[in-house]
Amino acid sequence: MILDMRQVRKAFGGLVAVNNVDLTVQQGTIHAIIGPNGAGKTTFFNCVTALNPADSGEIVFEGTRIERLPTHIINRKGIARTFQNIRLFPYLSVLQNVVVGTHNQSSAGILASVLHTPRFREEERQMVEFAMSLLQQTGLVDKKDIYARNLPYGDQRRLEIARAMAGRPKVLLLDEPAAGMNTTETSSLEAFIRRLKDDGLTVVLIEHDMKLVMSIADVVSVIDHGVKIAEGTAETVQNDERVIEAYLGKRKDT
Amino acid sequence: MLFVQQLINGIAQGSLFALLAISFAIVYGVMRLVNFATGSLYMIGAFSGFFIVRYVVRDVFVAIFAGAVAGYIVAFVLEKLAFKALRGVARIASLICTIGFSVFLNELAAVLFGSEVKSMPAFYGQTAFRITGVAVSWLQVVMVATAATVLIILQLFIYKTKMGLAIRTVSLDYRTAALMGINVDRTISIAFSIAGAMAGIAGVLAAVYYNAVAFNMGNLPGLKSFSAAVFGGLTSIPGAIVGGYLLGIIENFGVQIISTGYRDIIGFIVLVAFLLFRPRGILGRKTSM
Amino acid sequence: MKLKSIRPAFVSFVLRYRVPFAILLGVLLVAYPWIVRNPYLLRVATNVGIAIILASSLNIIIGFSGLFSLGHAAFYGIGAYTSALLATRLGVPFWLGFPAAGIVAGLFGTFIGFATLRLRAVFLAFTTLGFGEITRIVILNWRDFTRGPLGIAGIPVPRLFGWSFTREANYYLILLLCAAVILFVYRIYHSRLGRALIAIREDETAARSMGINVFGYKILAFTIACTIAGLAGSFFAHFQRYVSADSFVADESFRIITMVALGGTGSITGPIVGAMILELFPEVFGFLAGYRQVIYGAVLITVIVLKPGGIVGVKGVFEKPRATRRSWIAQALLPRFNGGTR
Repeated sequence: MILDMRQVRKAFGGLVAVNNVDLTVQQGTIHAIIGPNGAGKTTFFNCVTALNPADSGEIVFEGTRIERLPTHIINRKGIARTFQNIRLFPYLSVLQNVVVGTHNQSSAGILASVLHTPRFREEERQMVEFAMSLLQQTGLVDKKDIYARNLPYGDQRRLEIARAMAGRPKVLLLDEPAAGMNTTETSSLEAFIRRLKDDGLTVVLIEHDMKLVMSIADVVSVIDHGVKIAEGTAETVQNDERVIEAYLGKRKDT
Repeated sequence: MLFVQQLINGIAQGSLFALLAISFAIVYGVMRLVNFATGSLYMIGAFSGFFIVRYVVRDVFVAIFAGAVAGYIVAFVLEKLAFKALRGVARIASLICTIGFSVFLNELAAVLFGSEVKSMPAFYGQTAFRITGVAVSWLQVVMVATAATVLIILQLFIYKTKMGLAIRTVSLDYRTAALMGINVDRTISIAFSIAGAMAGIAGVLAAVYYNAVAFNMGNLPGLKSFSAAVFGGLTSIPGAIVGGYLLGIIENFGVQIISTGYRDIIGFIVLVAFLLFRPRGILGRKTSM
Repeated sequence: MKLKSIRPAFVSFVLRYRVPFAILLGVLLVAYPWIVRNPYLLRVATNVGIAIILASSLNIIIGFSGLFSLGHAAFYGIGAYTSALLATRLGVPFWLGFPAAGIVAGLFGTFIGFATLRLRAVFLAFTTLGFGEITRIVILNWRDFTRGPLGIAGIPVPRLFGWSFTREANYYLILLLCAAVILFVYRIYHSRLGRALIAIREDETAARSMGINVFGYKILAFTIACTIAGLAGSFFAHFQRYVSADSFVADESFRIITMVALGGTGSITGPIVGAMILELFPEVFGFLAGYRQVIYGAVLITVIVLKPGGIVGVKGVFEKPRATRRSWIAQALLPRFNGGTR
């Protein structure tokens, strides 16, 4: 296992958003987290990346505890993410957005930057080259020079993934990557995520598009009201009584 | 003796700072903007009071009313001239505008009324009563009473009227307020103008208290009361009042302990030190910005 | 392969012919003392140079990182006094006092940044404003050390191999410093550091999630800017040969902010343009006498209302789409934007 969360809990005032959840993500899998709106899925991501650190519990990444580390260190260790409500750098170009994502891959200091040392130039060249290859993979090369805010919605989602990939993460957390995409875009996203898995990346995704989840997820965890209510392969989860209850309400009520 | 004397001076001056700090707090509350023209509105209030007393009627209360009206009108015009267009634009643009207005108003006053200090006729110089032998003048009583009255009226306005509710809502979240059908533009305009009136009243009181009016009289009180507002949490009116009076008192005691030369920074130093331990201010609420 | 940034059209025109433009500009700047042959104009040019350095450095804080600093003149003043005191009391030459001034101003910057940059943005504004006042008052009152209101006179001019810098030499020195600072800021902007700062300005949370140490970079940016201001102060002290607290008051901080905002927040050329306008305005409009400042205030407001990002500002957080209902100024000056024509 690459990422292991034990008894993670997060409350906002009286509202317990994540209630003592255990979750284990295996290396090289696609792990989906599903659940009704407001179930605490995004809060869970925020706990892992320390944007809203967990109140209690342990988060272990590759054998080391990370729950007390600041966000940028967690990213450096190899966990990258996208956001449900897209958070690109709106007035940077598409290419610049991805180059910012390579931040943890580079090391040039002030002096090197100002003196334009050969090492600095080489690093810049590599970063831009790598960013371009990511744009190639996500199909955004033609749009590399326009402002991120001027991209269509679907492209913005893909750019967020490209930007997260730029840090060469080991685990990629995707928060509703298919939201607002049409069927064609979703299927190309599916192919893209599969390719990431083939390259050895571990993907954790929050998603409401069940068709997508069922076709690509190796493991599905279901969260409702901050509690994990089911876990297993897509099929097991689909037939779980409690899951159906959470989504549709109790049978006898209908 | 000296202790009581400094306390009384501190409270009298604190009234000025409290009114100015409220002006900062109202503007920051609804617009998230530090209004550096506050000191200029204070100066405009002082000049209005000065002209009323000099040429119309020798009455402090009429002068105070004139100062409030002048502050209200000038602030209203400023808001319409500039800040309305800058909503949604980065705050630095609005901030620069307040600096621009400050320069514009101060220098205009210098050109129109001259750059020399003008002396304001004295009022209420007689002793009202004595506390442990220390004389308290009627003027000091009037100042504190005026500030208290204004503060009470303001609280009633903010908490008991529909417009007050709108101002509170906008200061919490103007987008949601707009969705709720509140006319955000109008609310901000009125709140900004009321803040101008507060500064205007403070200006008249200062003119009477120091017997002096000058085009640049607002610069230092403006900067200092900004720190009083920060001390109170920047968006809280009660906080601003407490901050203002504390600043007045701290400054007057500080002068005794250290030296007069450092008068203008005692408040700053105490507040910076304090804020390092309690960044939200004394009565401020938690906000994201 | 160079990272292309997005520029307005007229800038790209200049950029297309940048080599001839640069050569022409370079020749003009070098020949300037012989073109004007006037000590006063040389002095004006030197002041413009100092202003450009101050505005460009403040731009790192305001424009790149999106932070408010309202006390830049204090760091400028600390640099000036450091250098002046070292020279007059200990006989330290300019060439040592100059870096020392930068270091001392930078250390103050680090200290203030460390204390306030974790807090809400407005606290940096408040603290720097307060620090500006504190610096001024301490200079005025600590008479044994700073000579108080008298200021420090008789600061020696820079000397090199027994040869004293005067007029033209000072002009070339500031020209060199200016070029160095502009190049420095330009290269920072187009480097990993600059990108990190801009990312922080655009979206702090996203920047943090990209592995950027937000607090650390903010401190770094603030320290760099304060160091440069300190260096400018040192030059100022040795050029004027006299320093006093009057040169480093809050108004001076506001003036530097105005240069940045008027010229163009966040762009490299903006602060240069702004510094030139603010320094030359009083020279050109001297005949307006008392009304000069009034007009200056009015022009400043008008420019910002019509173009919030500044004259040559970059697009970005500084110039978001406008509200549909405009201010009175905009309505009076931009009638074609009203009604259905757009």
